[in-house]
Amino acid sequence: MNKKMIVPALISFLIILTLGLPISGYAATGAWNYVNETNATYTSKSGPYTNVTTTGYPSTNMHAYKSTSREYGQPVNSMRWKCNMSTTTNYNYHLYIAIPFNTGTLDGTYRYYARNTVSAENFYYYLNQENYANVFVYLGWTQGTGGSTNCYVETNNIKYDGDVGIREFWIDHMVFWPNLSTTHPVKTWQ
Amino acid sequence: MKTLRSVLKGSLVGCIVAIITLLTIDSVRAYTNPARHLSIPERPVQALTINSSPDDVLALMLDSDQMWDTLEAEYQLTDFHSITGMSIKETQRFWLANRGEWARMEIDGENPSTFVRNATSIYRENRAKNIYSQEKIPGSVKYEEFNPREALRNNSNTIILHPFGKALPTGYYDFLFPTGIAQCLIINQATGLEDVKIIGEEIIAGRKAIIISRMPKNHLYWVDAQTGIILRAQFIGEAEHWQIQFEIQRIVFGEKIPESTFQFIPSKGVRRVTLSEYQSQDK
Repeated sequence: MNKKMIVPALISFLIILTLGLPISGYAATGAWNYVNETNATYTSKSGPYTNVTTTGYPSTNMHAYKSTSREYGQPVNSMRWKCNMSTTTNYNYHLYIAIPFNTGTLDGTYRYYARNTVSAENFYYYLNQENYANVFVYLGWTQGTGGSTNCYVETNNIKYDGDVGIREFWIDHMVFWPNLSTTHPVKTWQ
Repeated sequence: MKTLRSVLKGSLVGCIVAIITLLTIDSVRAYTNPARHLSIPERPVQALTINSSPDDVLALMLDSDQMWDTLEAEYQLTDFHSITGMSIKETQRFWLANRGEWARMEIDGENPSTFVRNATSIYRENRAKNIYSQEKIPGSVKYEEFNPREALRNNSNTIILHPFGKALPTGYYDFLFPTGIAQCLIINQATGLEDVKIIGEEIIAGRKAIIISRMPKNHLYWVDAQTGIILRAQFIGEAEHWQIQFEIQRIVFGEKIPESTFQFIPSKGVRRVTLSEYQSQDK
């Protein structure tokens, strides 16, 4: 290799390495390739949440949302996570949620309501957030054409079972992934 | 011309070397990342004992739904406030057949309610509000595609809840269908985030249970030695005493449950409402 080749070789090597390393790092470590709140497929939020913290998971991508903690006898509050995208044909929207790892004050039971335009496939699920941490939890799918009016996920800090203490309600990321199949997409995450 | 050719050649060589470097980094990272190499434990052939390994316990919890066909269970939920000393108790009764596809659940307490799921419909009744709703079973509740082991192999960061468990109107279904907790612990143990230890054994409601601790969450689970169902769970958190306990009072496996159990007959005086109206009042 002559001297005239060394400089361009070095420059192109560094450019590709700089661009490619973060991507390959994420892919190799299995870190989340989030479809997050800024992605076109999802989502805007409405409803009260107390703060946006930097204690979320993973440490490189901190977006944990803490809904209002709830005490016994206090009113529930809900957050509505709306779909931004709409289509002309029906898609199956697969719902994943990520709960940040936290210890200390116990988490409460969230009620998730996933809604889309085909009402027969809408579902309610109760999830005790205390049981899960640092993973995506797949909840299921709804079906429809999306759009912010009829396609959303509502989280409700219902504390369904008679809690007496203060319970925290966290959500890290939520993904409502449109897909043609009823089988949840997995490969795309890594 | 020669210079340009040299620059192009140099750039090409740089690109190739960079791509090879990236692929090498990928391979090394993929090989060394613990979450990518989940060891999914095989289900033990015999019932759990105090000498079983934590992996044996997690494997049984992972496949717990394979260990029974019908069950009747009564749990007591106690929520204890360590500062005020106040506690709330609630009884949750379950009748499950066809591995949980057919389900009946009754909850006593401040908000007494009934939940019934049979082959076609889900019914919910709130006896405090005198309302009930009926809905067709959504596609998400189907069992066919449920395979937690394959899901873990395909994606070591996502857990799949049991479809029959998650539809129940309680935040504590995970203890009857503990596959989701097992998946979470298998993943988090592999990455070093959580630690599971066997700390003892005890007889609960006539069943032998192996006690495991989950740290640093500070949870204790009493796992049924034969089925992997969680018979008692305590959430301690940062308190010195447990704050929430979900404890079996009675459990029977394998007895035929009359089909009428899974037929819904509204209580006297309740009116039918839409599902969304039901949920808006069910607080």
